[in-house]
Amino acid sequence: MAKSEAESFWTEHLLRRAGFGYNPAELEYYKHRGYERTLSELLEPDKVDNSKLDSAVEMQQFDFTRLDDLKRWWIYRMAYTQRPLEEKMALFWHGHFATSNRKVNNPYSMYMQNLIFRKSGMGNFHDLLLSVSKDPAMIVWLDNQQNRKGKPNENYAREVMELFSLGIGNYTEADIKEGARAFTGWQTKPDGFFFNAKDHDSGDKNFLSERGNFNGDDIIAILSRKPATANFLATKMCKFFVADNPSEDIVSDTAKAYKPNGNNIRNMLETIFTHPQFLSKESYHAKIKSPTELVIGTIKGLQITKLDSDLPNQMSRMGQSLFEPPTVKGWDGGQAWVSTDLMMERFNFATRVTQEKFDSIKGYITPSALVANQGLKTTNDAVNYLLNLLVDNDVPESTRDELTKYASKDNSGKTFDLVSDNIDDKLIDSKLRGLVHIIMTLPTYQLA
Amino acid sequence: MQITRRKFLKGGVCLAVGASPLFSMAARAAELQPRKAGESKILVVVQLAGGNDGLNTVVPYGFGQYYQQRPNLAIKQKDVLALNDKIGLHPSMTGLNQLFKDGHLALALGVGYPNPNRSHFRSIEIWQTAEPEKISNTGWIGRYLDNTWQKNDTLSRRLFPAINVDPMLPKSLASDRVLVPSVADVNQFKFNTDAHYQLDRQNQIETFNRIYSAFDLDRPSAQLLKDVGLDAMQASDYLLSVVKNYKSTVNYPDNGFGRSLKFIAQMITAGVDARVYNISLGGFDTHSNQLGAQANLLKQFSDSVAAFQKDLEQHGAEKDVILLAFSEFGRRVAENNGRGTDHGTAEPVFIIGAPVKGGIYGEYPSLSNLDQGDLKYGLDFRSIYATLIEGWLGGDSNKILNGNFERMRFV
Amino acid sequence: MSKQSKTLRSLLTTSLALCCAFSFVNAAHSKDNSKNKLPANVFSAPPEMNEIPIYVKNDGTPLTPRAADNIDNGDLDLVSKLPSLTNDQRKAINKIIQEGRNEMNSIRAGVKKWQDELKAAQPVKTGKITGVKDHSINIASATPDNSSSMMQEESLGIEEPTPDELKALIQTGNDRIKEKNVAVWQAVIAKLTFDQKGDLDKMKQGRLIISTSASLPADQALDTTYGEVNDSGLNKALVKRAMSTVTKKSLYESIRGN
Repeated sequence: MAKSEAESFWTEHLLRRAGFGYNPAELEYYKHRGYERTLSELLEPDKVDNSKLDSAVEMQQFDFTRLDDLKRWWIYRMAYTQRPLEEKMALFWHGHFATSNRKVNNPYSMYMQNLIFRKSGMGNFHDLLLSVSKDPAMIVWLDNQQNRKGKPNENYAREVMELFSLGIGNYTEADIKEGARAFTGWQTKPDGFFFNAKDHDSGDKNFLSERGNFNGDDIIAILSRKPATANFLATKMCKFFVADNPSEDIVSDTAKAYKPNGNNIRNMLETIFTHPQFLSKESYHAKIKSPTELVIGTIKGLQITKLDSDLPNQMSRMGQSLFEPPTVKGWDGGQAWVSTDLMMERFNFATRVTQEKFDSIKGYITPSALVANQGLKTTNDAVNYLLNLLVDNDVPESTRDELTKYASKDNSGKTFDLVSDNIDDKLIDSKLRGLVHIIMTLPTYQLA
Repeated sequence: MQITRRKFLKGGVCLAVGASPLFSMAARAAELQPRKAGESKILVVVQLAGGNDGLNTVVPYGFGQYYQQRPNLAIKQKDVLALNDKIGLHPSMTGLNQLFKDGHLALALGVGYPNPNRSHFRSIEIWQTAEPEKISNTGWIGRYLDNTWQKNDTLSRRLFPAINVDPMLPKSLASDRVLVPSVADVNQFKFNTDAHYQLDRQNQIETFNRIYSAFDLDRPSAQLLKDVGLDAMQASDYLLSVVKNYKSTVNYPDNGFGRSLKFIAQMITAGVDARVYNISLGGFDTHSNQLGAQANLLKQFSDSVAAFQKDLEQHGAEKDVILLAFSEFGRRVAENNGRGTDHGTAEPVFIIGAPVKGGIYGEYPSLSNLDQGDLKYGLDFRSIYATLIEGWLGGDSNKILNGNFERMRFV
Repeated sequence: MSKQSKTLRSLLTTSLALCCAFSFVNAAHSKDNSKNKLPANVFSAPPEMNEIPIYVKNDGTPLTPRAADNIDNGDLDLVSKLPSLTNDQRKAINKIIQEGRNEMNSIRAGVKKWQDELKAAQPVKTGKITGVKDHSINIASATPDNSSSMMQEESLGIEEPTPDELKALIQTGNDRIKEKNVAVWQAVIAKLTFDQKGDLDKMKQGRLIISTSASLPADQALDTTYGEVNDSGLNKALVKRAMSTVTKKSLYESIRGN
């Protein structure tokens, strides 16, 4: 079933947004299936066999008690999973429920929290919110361990409403106080979540115009039912997946897809990825890639199988340290990724990836291998091929011309055709690496 | 192009509304003139991370309780570098002692704030945001930079409104508008190309510049990416060229902190136009075996700051710079069972520089009238900030600090 | 999905006039190498995606599995924080911890003996040693992940009146450490310290410190200081020993089950 060029185009767009990009083989597979079947597959990760990844992960023997290894583990998963949307949602929830190891200081429990985002990240929001509220890392992060009957700590109650469900302006200070009382006794022990009845305030509470001797479960149930929650989540998801300033239409349509029962997260995603605004010119290359998307997209696009063990640090320097979001609000994203030093880090990341490194593995990529067997005939072909592979050819003519000029001359100024002339191997290698490097520094490469 | 709200993250150039980027690299380069001596007021902020034990830093040797409460940890009177007949400095701090004698060290005593917090995380946040009562998303320096941002700021001021020399951007520099780059060393900020193909480097750089200058794409963020990309190259070139010309005969201590201060001196004396520099020195969380560790750290601190002062003087820049050193809290009066001390409250704060009116400010907190074993503060740290904002950097401290704080007289 | 299918179909098939037409390279997708004029040794086959990806270090060598390297930031607290240990696992860990404690106590005793030897071995020159400052010696390399700058041990100015004697003392220290197979992880820094302007009295203060340096955040860094064997270093070493026998895989598996 031949798919039109337009449909292939949008499938790539979907893969960038609902995943982290693609390697050539994956792209062929998804393009062949077409947009709708691709989307179905993305929306139902449980039906996709991910055993190849699981066994590869097992072999790496990551040490989940070390933060750097934990980061490496997640990068590995994102790069090689057969369930891209599942991982992308885990990243989304990590930013949403932003918990930082800088305070929690227990990488293993950060790992356990991360598993929740995969297990419950695409089903019913209520289940997710409940699991997270009982998660030991979260309890430590928002001080609920100190929330006791008679001496309440309001931090969790405030943040669960402000940041995780309703959003600001949809509750009062009184609700926070009452909510805090309901969460008293929700603590953590070595074994995990522990309900300390001794510390729990089981009295009557007045919460968001409802009355009862609520405990934390009840609060979560109430919050999950509120339209404000639907709106809040819809807004965040549209910002994350569609555009920095999504239209009111897509946000309200997405919010409508949230019903208290059923797989409301999945339904919202489906609405987003089939919405006219998502499939519009305004959304194309409209988002700035987060450092995570940049790195994973690069690994996939360049088919990298030897990963730089320093990747977590490079990502941190680009502004995103996994498991260490800078504030309870997670990462702002969008234009916040763009500043002189952060851009320089991206450029230098590109150099590390493309440079000719050690004899044994010929660098992290073999650019010549990228272009081999593509039937290229001229320098122009090579440039076009790489532009297509890396930035969907979305550059002005001037860029194409400059790249071709660059790839057609050596240091002494002598010109040649990179593909058809008989020139030195090292020169070809350097030019190809240089091309990939420069393309990775282009504004378009920062876009998803 | 809208200005979006920036938050707590590593930052960069300030986006001026309506600023049109210069396409000509030469024209851009011409705009980057070094700062002239005397042209601006610079603040170097040093965080002594971990909670420095104030009692053993500014030693109240004239008070008996000090020796009673610290049978093992107290600094012997004969070792103390006396500042007057009651208090003196830790013996490691010979550099700072000299600065005090020269009238360049203002020592603020008993600095803190109401309802002190003893958690590292929260306490440092309080000092960095100047908000003891609530969580703020902007820092006091970030708000200062926002408050004094100008549409027609020079390119060099746009690129480097302030510089963070630590690996992670502290919350003090988080702002709504202005972005602060983190540059731990000049080479990190350099545009790298494949080291194996050095001869191709210029080609790549020129290609990059030409591509970027002509880049025109109708996507929401394309213009921003183009502008910042060009700025990044520019800033990198500027920094590299500016520090290349730095010469100094001053010997800095051979440790990380010394090197960082040297780097800051390089940038200041070479004429980078940043107004604030941020750096920290860690390791002060001395719960056990405090004596040696703290001695070592205070020596690093004192020697490096002394070298830094000397360096500024050699380059005629000493009148432009004040250095502020603080910690997120002091430590408890009584020593613990591990020959160390635990998290406490009030502490001494150092304000150093030629422009400073040296001396002792405030009273040493009482060692008997304690708050559950901790010192009671006398000076709100925001007074120090207010004084630096109004009297040195130049800004609206009421707005920046969300309140009216007493001006002190050290500048 | 079917409700939206029609709209979706039309969106997907509508050709868009974007500013840049995606002009694909004339990719013949031919596997015939002869079409390629580029030399074979530069253009090799694309990497097999069936190859299992791994992490590599800066020199290209694989980052070895670290199951054997155990809990880095660990202390006994961390062991107790691990959720859902079975009773058997707890027992096993506690047994090992006790064995570790015993071992560490004997190390302590050995260290004390060495300290005494060190004191006795001080060169006595008319009761004064001049110009001796702090010595820092790295016995092993630093941890791979030194993100916190304060963890870098600086070597301070050294003036050694008797370098050979100093070398001999350090060697003795190293041997002792090897003998007892101190279970600390990668960075072990032994500091030999003499007080400045030493006279005999102060020389007695010379102490051996075995402490550990690891990639901890700056505000939790161990004090590599003067004093006895550092207690928190002890705990970390114990945990390391403890965890090395309980296989991590089995531990994680039983935990993941929850």
